[in-house]
Amino acid sequence: MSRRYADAKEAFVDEINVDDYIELEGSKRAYDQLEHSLDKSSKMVLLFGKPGTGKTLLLHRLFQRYKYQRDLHFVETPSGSRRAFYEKLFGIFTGQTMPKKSKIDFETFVAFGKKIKGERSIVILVDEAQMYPKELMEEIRILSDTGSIKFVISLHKTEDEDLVAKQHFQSRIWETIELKNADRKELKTYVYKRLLNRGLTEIANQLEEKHFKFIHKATEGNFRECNKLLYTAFEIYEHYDRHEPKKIDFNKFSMKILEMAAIKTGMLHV
Amino acid sequence: MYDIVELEKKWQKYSRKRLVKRLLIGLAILILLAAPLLYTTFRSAPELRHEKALSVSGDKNRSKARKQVEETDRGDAEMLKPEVPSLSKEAASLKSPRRKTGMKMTISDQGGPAVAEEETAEEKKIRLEMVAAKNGQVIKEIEARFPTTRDYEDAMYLAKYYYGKKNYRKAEYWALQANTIDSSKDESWLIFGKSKAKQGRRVDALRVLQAYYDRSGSTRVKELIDRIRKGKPY
Repeated sequence: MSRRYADAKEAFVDEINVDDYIELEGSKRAYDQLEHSLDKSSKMVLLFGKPGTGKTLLLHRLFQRYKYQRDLHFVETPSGSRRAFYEKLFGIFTGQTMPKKSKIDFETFVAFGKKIKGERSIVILVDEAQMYPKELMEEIRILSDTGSIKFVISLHKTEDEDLVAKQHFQSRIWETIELKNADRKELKTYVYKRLLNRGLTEIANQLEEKHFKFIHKATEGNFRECNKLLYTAFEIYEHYDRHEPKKIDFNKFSMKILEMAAIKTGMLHV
Repeated sequence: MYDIVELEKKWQKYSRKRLVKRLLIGLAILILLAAPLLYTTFRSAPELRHEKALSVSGDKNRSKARKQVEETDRGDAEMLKPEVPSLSKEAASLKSPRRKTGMKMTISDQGGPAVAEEETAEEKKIRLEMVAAKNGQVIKEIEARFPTTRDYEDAMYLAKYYYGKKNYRKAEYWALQANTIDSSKDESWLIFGKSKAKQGRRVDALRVLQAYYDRSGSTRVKELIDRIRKGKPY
């Protein structure tokens, strides 16, 4: 039984794995919209939503799907500095590494963008854009104006970040795609699929409506929070299974353990 | 792995809090559900209590009033009490009495609404007497029931009533009825004598009164004899 709970725990490790992608109604709609926007004339696409709603996974999925078919690039890790971002951009433009100690000349990049217009249609996926400095965001906007580079910007949806979006992109032709937290039905599908993908049918069958109700309430339908909660729950299960098996009823899922996991992860306050 | 014991303790604390919260919610719901009922009960209770109080006090008042009327009647009757009982020839032909006060009937029939009000016993007495005095229906009722009840006080009540109305013939009749029931009381002799005298039969009145005075020695009767003889108002 121990192995089973360990596997269940692993099913909810919060990592980006496209193979683990679970198609839910909300995320499918967002993906279709994003995919469709690649062929549009819009220069910038804004993908936003609360942390844990699946923005990064969606970008990954799109990247995996089209990386060999389109001039599509993914700037996954936020660049620590303006130079780091331009080094990546230089690589996208030329396929080469930017020479060290070379000077970053923004005008040169803009000129290059104009030059390749009509020849190339570059799409750059920029994740965690809220971490970029304001000046860099402004330069990204100007680069998109060249008409040869489309940026898909992923942002966390917070009040400040919305403001950033307004400041930098409001005057541009851009499309907005919002990812929302899952409803209870979607979350249920998500949890089931996560467990069934690992062959944990028995555990999946033990989950009842009351458990999903609690999970949804505690996590507010956020996938990342859901992963965290269930990972912790199965970790507690694993502990009992190893050290105090008498405390566990193997035939049904314990609400107590789920509540303990919620307390542990700070979703329930004592 | 983290401290599972500590986590269990936290869960127990959470569980207790949840239980208390649920109990409080349950209690609140119960109060909310019961509120209309309590409100209705609370509103109707004072009315019920008031009704009950009125009913009880009504009964009490009736009893009090009865008592007082009875006492009043007894007081009046005592005025007729002869020290030496002696029946006239007319009185001898009357049947034996059965005591029951006329005012009892008056109160129960007419005094209902009056006693339901929060009045003093004194006020009730006055009111009841007024009702009895003014209401001819009451007199008729007392007269109607007398053959059955043979009540001294009923008879005396009627005698005084008719004497007050200057119907001396009837006053004499009812005083005689009272005297046949209880000839030891001055009051019946006095009304009888006065009624006879008022009808112009002063000799008959003096003869009867003198006979009663000779046996009883009642000062009240002696005074009346003197007044009739001297032509003084009585």
